[in-house]
Amino acid sequence: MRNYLIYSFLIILLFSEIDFGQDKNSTLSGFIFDINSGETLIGANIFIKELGVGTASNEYGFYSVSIPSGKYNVEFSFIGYEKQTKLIDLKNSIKQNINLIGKTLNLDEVIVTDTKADQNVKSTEMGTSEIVPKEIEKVPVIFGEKDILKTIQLLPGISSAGEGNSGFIVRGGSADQNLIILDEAPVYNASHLMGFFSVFNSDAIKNAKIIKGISGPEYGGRLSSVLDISMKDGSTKNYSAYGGIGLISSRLTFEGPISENEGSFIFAGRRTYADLFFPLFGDDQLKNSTLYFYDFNGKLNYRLGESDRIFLSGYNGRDIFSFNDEFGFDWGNTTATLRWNQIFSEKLFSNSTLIYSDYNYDINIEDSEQSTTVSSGIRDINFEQDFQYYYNTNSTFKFGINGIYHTFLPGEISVSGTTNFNSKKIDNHYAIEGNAYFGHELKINELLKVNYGARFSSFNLIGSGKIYSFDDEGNLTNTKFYDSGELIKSYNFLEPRFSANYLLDETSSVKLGYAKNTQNIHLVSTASTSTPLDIWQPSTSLVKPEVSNLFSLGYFRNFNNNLYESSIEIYYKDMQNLIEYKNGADIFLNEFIESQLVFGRGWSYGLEFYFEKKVGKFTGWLSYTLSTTQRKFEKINDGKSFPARQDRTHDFSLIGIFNLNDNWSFSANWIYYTGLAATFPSGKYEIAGQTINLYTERNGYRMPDYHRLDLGATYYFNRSDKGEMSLSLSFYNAYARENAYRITFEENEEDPSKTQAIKLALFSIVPSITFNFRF
Amino acid sequence: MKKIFLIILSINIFLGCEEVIELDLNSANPAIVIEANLTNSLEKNFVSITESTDFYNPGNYKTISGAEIIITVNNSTNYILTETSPGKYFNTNLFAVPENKYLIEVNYNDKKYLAISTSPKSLIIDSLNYLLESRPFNKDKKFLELHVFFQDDPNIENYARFVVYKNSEKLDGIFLFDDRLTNGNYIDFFFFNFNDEDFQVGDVISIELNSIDKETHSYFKTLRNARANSSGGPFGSTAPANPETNWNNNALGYFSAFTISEKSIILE
Repeated sequence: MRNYLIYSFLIILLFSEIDFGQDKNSTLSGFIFDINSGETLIGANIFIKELGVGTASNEYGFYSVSIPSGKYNVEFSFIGYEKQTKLIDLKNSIKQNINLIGKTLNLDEVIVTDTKADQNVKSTEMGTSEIVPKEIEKVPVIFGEKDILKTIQLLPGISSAGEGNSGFIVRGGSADQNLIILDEAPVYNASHLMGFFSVFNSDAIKNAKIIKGISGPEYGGRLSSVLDISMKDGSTKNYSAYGGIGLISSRLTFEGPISENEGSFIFAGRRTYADLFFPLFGDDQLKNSTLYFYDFNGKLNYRLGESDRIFLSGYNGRDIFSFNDEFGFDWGNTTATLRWNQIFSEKLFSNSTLIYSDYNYDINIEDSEQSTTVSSGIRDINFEQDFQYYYNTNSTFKFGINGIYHTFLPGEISVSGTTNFNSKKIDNHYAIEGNAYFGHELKINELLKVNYGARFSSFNLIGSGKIYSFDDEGNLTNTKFYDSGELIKSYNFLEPRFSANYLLDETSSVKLGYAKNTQNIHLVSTASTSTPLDIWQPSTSLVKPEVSNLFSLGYFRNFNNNLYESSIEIYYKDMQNLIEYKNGADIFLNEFIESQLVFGRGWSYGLEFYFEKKVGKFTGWLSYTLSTTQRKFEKINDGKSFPARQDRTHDFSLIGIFNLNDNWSFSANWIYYTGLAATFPSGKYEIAGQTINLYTERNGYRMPDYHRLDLGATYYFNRSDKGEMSLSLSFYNAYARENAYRITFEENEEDPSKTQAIKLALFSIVPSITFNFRF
Repeated sequence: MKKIFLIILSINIFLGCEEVIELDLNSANPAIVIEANLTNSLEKNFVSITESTDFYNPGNYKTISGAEIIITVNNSTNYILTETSPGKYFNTNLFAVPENKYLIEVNYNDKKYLAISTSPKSLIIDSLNYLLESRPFNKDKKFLELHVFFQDDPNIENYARFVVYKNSEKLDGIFLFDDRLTNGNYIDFFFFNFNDEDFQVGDVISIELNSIDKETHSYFKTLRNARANSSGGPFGSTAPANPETNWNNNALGYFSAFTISEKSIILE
């Protein structure tokens, strides 16, 4: 750890040196805000007209450009905001905060001139999409619960983990290979109610960014993607309240200034209420039962002078299920982030963050004779120090370190009274993770821009703990004991990251990218999506780190003055040390869980096509993925490779939103994909008088192809500067396609000598209605 | 507990829509299926040899006659089994004795199939109890919660399989016990998942507790997956697979030596 600190200080010193050597240039820096709310704007564009150079604001709304002294017309722009041009006389370095004005609702007048609009073509980012909840609120979703995790599934290369499910899979990875961070805190289980809803309340979210593998060196720890979600900061100008009432849940958010222009707060809550109707069934047992989830987001921020800003944000959400005071089951996440933005100099931006994240579940079974409690979880404490150094308009550096202390609580059962069970606690696992990274974005000439860097990651499993060895059959052969703090196993990696952009002309470019990623905490799950009982398993001597190499090549092209943007990307991803359970594995409270695992590799390659119209009366996108995903495990399918369950040859989404006028907007989605790979029997036989299916190969068959249409309509009323109300009606699966959720093979009830396949369709047409308000 | 299960079941019914579909399934070469039970009760002992068939064939499984079967006890005494009806083989002098190790050898069509099973120390049913109630959503049908009480042996790993009979008719379902989390306790083992079976006052319920070895337990545990399995839903196991057998040479089925403890009860 100490070494990383010394390195980073050396780097800071080095940059300070460079600073002294630069006297011809001056630096223009500051923050970009929304004039109405005072929220900082992420990715707003700053363009120096005379020089034809520019930059964009970072994730905290900060920007910095170093250019020769002189008088310049500087354009500040952001999508959905009016462009501002300022004449700036740059004799010395100056700070200039900018307030941009959000465009009015009159959509006819929107003209696309934002320079940000050509980011698609000009940045080095690949396989990256940004989602602003405001932009997606018209996309129809199941039960009318708008959900970031479901919207990203409509992008190329990203697929859902199951019908109506918020779990997602990126480029042939698995659901646990996505790093989901909320204000930098990892969220270990991002779903509610068996995956049907995500834990992210859209009202509290400012921005979400999904990176499908070629991520900057500041991110790490998961193989397949990064989903970086920023909570709103709250308005520094006005107090406001907004929310909605839907079929499933109600939401309410308050935000406002702590003191004007200096600080703000936001509190957002959401709760489902299916169980409030339980008493209506008139059943005494149901009356004493609950079934709901809630989410609570809160954030405070305060500016300490010109160059320092402090944020405190937190999330708590839980699913709570209990039945007649006899059985209780609850699970949920808690995260907290304390962050300090500092502008060391006009060129050096610093971000210091202290993060806490916790996921756990509890099961209680209680009656007059006994009480049994089962619990499990994972807990992280994380410190991060990041720097961004804006050397000049051609060169930006990023570097930083972070240290994470993981505590894994694999499981514990405690009993009292008369019961079958014995009390038992599986020893906690502890790990210290140290990471350091460096990245440089360099514009080599007008046409070529590169972004290169590396991340050094070190994962150290420490005591106290026991290390088990097993024979081939999974029987325990040896136990080794380690004292508290003693190093058990260490894994170190250097992960290079690279992307380059070559401009073919003003509206098209070719990009190339490579990234290596490693993963040291693994979710071993019997299901393909996350369930509340998931166990996070650290890398150990037997469980090796997962490692991936991703190559990507893309062609990006915008049309019609950036009105339309499009891209084609091809990728190849190789994944090592993937984990699956053995057939018939004992998972529940098993201290020998490592003996229940098998290891293998996987690979995926494909082509992703994307076409979007971002502004205007009619907006929407088309996304198409052609891909193959394979797995190869020595102990599965006789060691032969087989298609992964999530292997989808074709995956197509079409989303359209039509804003008819100030009152009405209409939307539609159509989704089609090849049926998932599935294992069906190729024969049958009889054991103990019962018919048993005979399987010859893993995932050798396909589920029927999936498609559905969703429709939505929104009516806005009582619109004013301050607020509005709206009523949304949506139909999920509008033509009631009976998509196969599951196929079972069983005996015919009338004639048990015959066997048949039975398809279960989960959802037919699902109508829903939601009322939203803001004042 | 059981009500939770019923509620979850009914939620499933509200959401789901089931339909029989026709799938184009491959045919597999017929595989040999050897089901071999050696118990302490003569009428439960048998070795049955059949063949697998295609999924959509009617289930008249072809029996295999003319196999040569030898069981060796504790590496010393050999017993030869004789075919008494097509595909069924017996030896009336052989019974399972706890802690004895049995090796079975089946020779058929120039192939030799081997399996080993040890009959563990016996678990003995102490008593039975039950709860018979009307179903919450269908008052005409009765719901049975059955309790089996027995003492687990603290000195060894115990595995058991329960077989349930209603009026001498065997009920569907694979009910398994292991003492990984319950070692040495006085066990109240209860089960209530009898599919749609209807129970009435006066029914005679018999329970067999089979003290099986780890391999047999593993077989039935994985058999449960292969049997009622599903494909495609996110909550099923990742992929169904053939059960983990103790036969070599790709034979299907199992060989198990075990002792049986049995008790009956009349529903009132």
